[in-house]
Amino acid sequence: MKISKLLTMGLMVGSLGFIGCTDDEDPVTPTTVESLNAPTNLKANSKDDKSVTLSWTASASETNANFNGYEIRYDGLPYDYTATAGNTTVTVSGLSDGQHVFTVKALSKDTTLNKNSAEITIAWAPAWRFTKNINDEDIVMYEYTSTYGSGLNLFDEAGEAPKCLKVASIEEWTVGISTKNDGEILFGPAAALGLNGSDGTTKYVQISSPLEANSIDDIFDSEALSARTYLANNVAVDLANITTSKAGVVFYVKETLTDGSTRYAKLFIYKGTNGWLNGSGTDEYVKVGAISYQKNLGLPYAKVAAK
Amino acid sequence: MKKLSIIFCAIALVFCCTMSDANAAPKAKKYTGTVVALTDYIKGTETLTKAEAVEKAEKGIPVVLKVGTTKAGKLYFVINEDGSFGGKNLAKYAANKKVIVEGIKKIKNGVNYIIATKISSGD
Repeated sequence: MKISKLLTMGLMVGSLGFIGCTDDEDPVTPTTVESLNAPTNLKANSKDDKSVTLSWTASASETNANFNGYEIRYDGLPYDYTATAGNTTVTVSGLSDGQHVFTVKALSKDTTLNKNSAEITIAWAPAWRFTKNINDEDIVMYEYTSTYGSGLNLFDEAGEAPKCLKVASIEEWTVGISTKNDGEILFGPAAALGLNGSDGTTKYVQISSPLEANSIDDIFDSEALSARTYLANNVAVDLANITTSKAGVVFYVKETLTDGSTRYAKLFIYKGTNGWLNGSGTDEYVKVGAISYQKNLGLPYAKVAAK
Repeated sequence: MKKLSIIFCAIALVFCCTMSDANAAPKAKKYTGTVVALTDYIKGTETLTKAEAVEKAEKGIPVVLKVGTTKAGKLYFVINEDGSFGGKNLAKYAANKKVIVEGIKKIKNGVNYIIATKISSGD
């Protein structure tokens, strides 16, 4: 009898204890795993004929405990590189000629969420990068009084590089300079420079307003180059009027061919320590630091589309 | 007597000038032409791309300056100021319609050559 009482009491105490333990535990609350915010403001810059550099604004989720870097894809294929938090540029190399679609998205440690997480996309193309002319010399445009050329053909088919040209070949110029008037260093299409020697046939070229930069690599794009504002074909920019604390300026160049197709380029002009003209005597020159030239017509063409 | 003195002075002047010219270093001149490979020129095929010219120069095939527009233009070997053969430097200008070689022309054993102080595009 005593034993049965003891067992009953034991069971009761045990039950109370069990109930008590349950009450003491924290309530189980289901954790919500948030999907990560996409990076924003994706931009591109053609580095050379096989590489495009991408730049973006960090995802607002970088501080999220689940943030696990950025995945970069091109043409749907994963690029063998994952950018970590705080790293918002990548150069995608080994590209073929023509336009490619690049995608960047924030990765979560919870891989099940990655498939449908937000991403940002841009279409862009690699472009040829030149720092030397067809004669393997610096790319320069000489002043009006020089016996050397004041103009540039941004891409000479025979030499497969930019070519410096004299006024006698002005019909081949893409852009050039004129220092004919004192104090002026006009830069622009041949039609805008008022130089003699032209037989009236010049390329239809337009340039943009200058953008201050330390290098051509500083200038990224997020919009179609065709959407940019270009000056008229007969308008040049006077470099002498440009003051900048940076190493120089970048101009966009748009050439419209006779069949209406367009070709784009970017050109970085150095501002020397003594101004835009370098050298001495009658052979002073404006130095072009780099030219990004798109061989394919109509490219590069930036197009941003959020998923 | 006066006449003789004048004639003598004139002869002396001419002689001095001649001596002075003879002693003066020859002046550099500009020679405008096109870049050709000697082997191509002999075969009669003168069209040369920059890449081909550089390759030929690397292989030791003479790349030279052809001055004159006719088929039988005058050929000049280009020599660098340090005395080395300037074919490699000249080859970089093969894509130019015109190339200007600035220097002093010399002829030795019937071979024309220019000791080049500067090579530049003539386009």
